[in-house]
Amino acid sequence: MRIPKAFTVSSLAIFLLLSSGAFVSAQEEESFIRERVLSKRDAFLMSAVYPGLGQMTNGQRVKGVTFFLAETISLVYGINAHENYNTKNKIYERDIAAFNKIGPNGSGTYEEALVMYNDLKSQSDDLDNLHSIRNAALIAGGAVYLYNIFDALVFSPGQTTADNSNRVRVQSAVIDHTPGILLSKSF
Amino acid sequence: MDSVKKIFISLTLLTLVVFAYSCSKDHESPTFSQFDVAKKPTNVVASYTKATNTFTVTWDMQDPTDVIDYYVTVADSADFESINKTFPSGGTAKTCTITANFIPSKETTAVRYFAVSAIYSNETLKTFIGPQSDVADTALFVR
Repeated sequence: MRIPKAFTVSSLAIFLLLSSGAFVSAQEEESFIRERVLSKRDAFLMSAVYPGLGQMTNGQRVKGVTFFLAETISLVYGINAHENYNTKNKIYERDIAAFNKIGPNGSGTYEEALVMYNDLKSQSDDLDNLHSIRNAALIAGGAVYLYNIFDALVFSPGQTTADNSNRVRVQSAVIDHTPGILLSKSF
Repeated sequence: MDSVKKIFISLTLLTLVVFAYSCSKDHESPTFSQFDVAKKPTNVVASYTKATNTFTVTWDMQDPTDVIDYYVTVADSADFESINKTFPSGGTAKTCTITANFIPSKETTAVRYFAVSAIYSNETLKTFIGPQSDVADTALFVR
């Protein structure tokens, strides 16, 4: 079988061209990069686990850290206020039960009742404050959580973003005048 | 995307439950109204009778309903041990006589302070000692 001369010459030229570093460099300049970027769905799931995770994984570090800190601070304040509230509420319930028994139990005095009443009012005010702090912290935490999910669904860069400063890169390269594949990750 | 929607709806419902829970007020406020019926006696007057060496204390009570007795408190400026002695007057009469531990032949002056409280007893207050009256005028003795 006779191979046409033109086909042979063309194949040889293409082989030489593929083996050359100049061709690889040209590919680099054209950003022949395949990135590993989270999809909106993955970003949503990460953000659903804890606010900020989806954004941080997608490279939106400042936004992610902001969500993370806001949620953490809200939770710490909320849980702390909740625990304080529960502890003080137990003491308050014990004291108010004793206060309500002053009359029916007998031998109680008006002055004793007045002192206990003033103390209970002070305790009730403390409980109201803790209740408000807990409300505000939990609502803020919920709001941060919801906005974080909304952000992950709507403002997530998705797969089309060119911001690849901290992505895993797979790209062609020339190493010791030999073409190859370079896997890189910047931190 | 259905699973995503389900998760989002679940989290929204969870947030609403947390919101409703945190807005509910789960402690009762204290109220003093059960003791409002207790009133303090007024116009407390104390006098000393040298012949019998006794004090006579009198007072008024505007609404004696449910009052079963009175407590009389005596503070003695000359006798540290007997400061703020409190005892029932012995009935619903608005007066009582108290023997003084004052010895007219040896002492020159003494000051006593008196206050009276009503003792209530009804369905909500059992042997409850009401508010103390204003302190009576001091009784001053001069030999």
